[in-house]
Amino acid sequence: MSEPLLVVDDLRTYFSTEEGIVRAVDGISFTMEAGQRLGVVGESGSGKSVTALSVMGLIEPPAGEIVTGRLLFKGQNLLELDEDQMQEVRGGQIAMIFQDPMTALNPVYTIGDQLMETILLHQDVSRSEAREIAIQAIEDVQIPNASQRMMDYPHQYSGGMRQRIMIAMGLSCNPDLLIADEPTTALDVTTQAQIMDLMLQLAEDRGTAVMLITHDLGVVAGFCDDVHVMYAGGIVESGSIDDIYYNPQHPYTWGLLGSMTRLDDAQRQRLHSVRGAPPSVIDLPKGCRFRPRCDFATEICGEVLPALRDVGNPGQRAACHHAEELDLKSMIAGDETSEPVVSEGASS
Amino acid sequence: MSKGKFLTDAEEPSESAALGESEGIAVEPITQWDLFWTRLRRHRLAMIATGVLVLLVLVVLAAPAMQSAGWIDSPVERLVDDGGRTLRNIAPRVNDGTVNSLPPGGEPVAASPTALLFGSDDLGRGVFTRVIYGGRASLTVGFVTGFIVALLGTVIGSIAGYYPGAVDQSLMRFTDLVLGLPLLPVAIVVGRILPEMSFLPSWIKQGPMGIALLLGFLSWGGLARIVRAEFLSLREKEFVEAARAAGASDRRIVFRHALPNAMSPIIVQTTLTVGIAIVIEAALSFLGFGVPPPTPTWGAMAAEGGRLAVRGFWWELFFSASALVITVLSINFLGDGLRDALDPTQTIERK
Amino acid sequence: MTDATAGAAAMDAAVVDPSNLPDDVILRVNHLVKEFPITKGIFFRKQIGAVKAVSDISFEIKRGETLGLVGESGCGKSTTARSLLRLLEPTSGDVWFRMEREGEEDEIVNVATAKKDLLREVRRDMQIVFQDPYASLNPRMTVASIIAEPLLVHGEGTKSERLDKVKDLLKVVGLSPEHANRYPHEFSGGQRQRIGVARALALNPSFMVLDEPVSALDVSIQAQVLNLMDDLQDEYGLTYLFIAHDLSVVRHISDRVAVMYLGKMVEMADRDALYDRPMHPYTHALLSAVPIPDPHIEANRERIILEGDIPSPANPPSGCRFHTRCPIAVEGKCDVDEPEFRELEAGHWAACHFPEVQQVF
Repeated sequence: MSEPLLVVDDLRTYFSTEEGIVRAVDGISFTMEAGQRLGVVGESGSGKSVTALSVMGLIEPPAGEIVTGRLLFKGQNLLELDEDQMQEVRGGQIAMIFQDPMTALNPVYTIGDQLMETILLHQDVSRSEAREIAIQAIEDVQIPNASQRMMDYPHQYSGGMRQRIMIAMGLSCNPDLLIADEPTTALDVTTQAQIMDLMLQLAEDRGTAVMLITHDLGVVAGFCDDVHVMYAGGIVESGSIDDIYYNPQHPYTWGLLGSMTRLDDAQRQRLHSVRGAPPSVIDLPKGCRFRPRCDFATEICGEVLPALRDVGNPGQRAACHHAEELDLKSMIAGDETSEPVVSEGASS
Repeated sequence: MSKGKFLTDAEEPSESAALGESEGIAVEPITQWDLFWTRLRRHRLAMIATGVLVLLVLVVLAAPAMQSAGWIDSPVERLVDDGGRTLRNIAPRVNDGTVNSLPPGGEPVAASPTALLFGSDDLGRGVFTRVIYGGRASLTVGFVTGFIVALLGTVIGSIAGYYPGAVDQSLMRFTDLVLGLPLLPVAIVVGRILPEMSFLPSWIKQGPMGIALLLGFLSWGGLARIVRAEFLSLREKEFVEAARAAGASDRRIVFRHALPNAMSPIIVQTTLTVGIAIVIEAALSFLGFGVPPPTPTWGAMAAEGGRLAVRGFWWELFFSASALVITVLSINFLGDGLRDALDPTQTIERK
Repeated sequence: MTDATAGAAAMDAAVVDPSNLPDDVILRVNHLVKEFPITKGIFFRKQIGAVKAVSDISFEIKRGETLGLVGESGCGKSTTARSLLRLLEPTSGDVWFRMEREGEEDEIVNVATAKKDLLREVRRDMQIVFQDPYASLNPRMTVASIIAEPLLVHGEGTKSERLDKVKDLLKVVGLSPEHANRYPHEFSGGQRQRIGVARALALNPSFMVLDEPVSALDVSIQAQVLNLMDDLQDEYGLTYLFIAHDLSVVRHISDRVAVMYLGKMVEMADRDALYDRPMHPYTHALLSAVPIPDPHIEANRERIILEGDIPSPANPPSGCRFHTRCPIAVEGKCDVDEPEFRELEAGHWAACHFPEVQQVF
């Protein structure tokens, strides 16, 4: 196997606040292959967005700091680059799109100007060539009348259109990795479908790897190959989407799935919710961070922070002391569709 | 479904643990006032400023008593004669022969031990006692103006913000009109006309009260606009809708929901106004349109002191201007502290 | 369920005789319209147009049921809710509400025209839970005074009786009575939403509008609050109007579901009928757009991707408001004639010239 696209090794990103040190990301490791579509799922405060910002080199000292860790992008440690070199990578080889496209676009410049600026910054082309590339990029994201709409300002675009422009901007320099941080959370469901459809199509056509950061397990199910589930600054489970959805090994993953209301659920059963709320990342509980909310916690869970280890299907990992003993799969309530296809999913 | 079922479902142990509570023991109710004090006390600059202001007010209020006790001198009596001698027969002092201004410090020369603490002005009056008496004028103008502005601005602004439409429109156009008046020229003109109006009581015609009233009636517009904007946005807040859905009256919504949440801009704007009023009073006195002499005010003293300072006699300017600056700064620091203390989301743990 | 045709006829009548309100109906909305004027000018405000947030909608809610009202942002669902409670003044239309008083005959009140005192009385029975758990609680009041406010306003009980009631309510919504003297900012989003629910319950209402009560919450907390709403309904026999943009949540909680688009009702049916056999092309698109947390289902799903964006409600399209984005719109018909909201099957209403059952997942 060739060199991985991205290796995150024991990344720890802390923020200092008046209340204390916020351990937003606390020791996570994973790799991403070229063209892989990875979902990073978690609730607010789980550290999923900070992970993305760390990779992008957008953690601003002194408030936030990457305390330890290595971020190898195509073999090169991003943490050793200076700001100019990082600028080259950012937008050129790694692009990012945000939840709120309005804040990422400058309201006083036209869409065309902003697109061309990104292109000129990262590619050695003339202005007229940059213009051509920009028009092409707008057409690629299926906005009609591209050359006309180049001259519009961000406020003349709808929310969905702005997010398309962000995607156009992100992909205009053909990055190897696109990080999408809750790209559809602010959008209506029909617009979300448009945007996810577009992202899937573009990522497949170009072979761009995508890190999709979201709280929505539904969006992940239709888009990603693999999933990391984050909780209180750490990865608690990772695996292929089939592993995660049909054979969860961590009680939190299981609880999340049980908390989801489903469009195709005709039975109106009581939701199996996770009790309590996530811990404060300033004052983390001793041992397993999920212990206070876990139905299966024992003494050891209060003592030792479980490491992410191989468990369940090949390639699946979970950070739970009791993963082997728990048969969480069989406890997925009223889900007939999952049962017969598990073997098929595991073999693929 | 039994009640017990969802009780266990809803337990949020980590949260309760974080709040540090022990089972079964009710937490004492903390009033908004307690919270306010706890937070204000943590704000060091605001506490120093409060101390300075309290001291100033006390000293200024006690000035006549201090004078009768012989600690300070009369602010209008000359302590030094044209030859540089004190009028109370104490040993002759040096001066340059053209003015009677004596430097601060030195040997005891005058009637009270503090007579020449800050030196004397060119009429031979003690600067120390005049700074104290001058504070009466400045603080009166500041606080009275602040009070009028807070009252008018809040009432007009909240009525306009709570009743959109014709009421709002007419009140706001009136506010625009008042805001459009140029403060200094109008104050100068009105200040000139006031003493001519025989039907007015003399406490308005003379002294700082008249100026305070004038400034107050001219400067509530800014606050009214701020309060209106605040009310407009509070009207739309869901907790106000919730109160209405519960059947709460307009009065209750205004006094229980809207006003408390508009307090922080009101207080900040008012403290700013107090500072500005003091400065404007000083400016008016500086220009000769303020409180008529011989009543001392910081502005008039600074004007006179400025003329002396160019000739090297720095003390009258220095002490009157310092008093002004320290007072205005203290008021602003206090305003800062108040704003923070009134922020309901600030936690107790904050340093 | 009594007789659907009679219900339909009654609904279409311009004015409904309140005595016609069947016993099991707690609320009937008749031709409700809410427009927001667009004005211009400083001295002489001139109306230059109107945002037609809700354009003539009618529906009824039966006692003890949950009606889900779904639609995308700007469709008018929240405006509808606020007009029902008269938190907004309806431009026209009636909102008939059944006030139940123990030992007395029910009184049918038109909330849309009720005078101040009557409105106050009605509001004991109709309450609302808001979307934003941060904006819906006054930050300067303790939890106890927030929850006790409805009681205080209606002059119920002495101070200590009210405090007892507050403690009971806190227990009912799954918080501890010791929380009474705390301030809202000391709570998490889920806990705040529980406080909002306790406030709504204080006057023992019979009908509650839940305006996106879980949209701002994390998934695991969402489930807790949904379960709580379910339990409360069973416990107190509450009737809910549940407003949401999330169709999965609505399917979970509702008995019947109504879909709105640009100020109009486009489809209304029993829950399973709406999800399994939707008839309106907008409902098709909406349902097909919702992701399902199941990779195998997702992999095989065919999405109906709508073109373009929702038009401005200040200037809605002619004819059927959906025709600009509709995959099956017929020129000369859909852009000219406004489709009637009619009952196509028993209890299944839709406003489309060419309704067709289509399974979308």
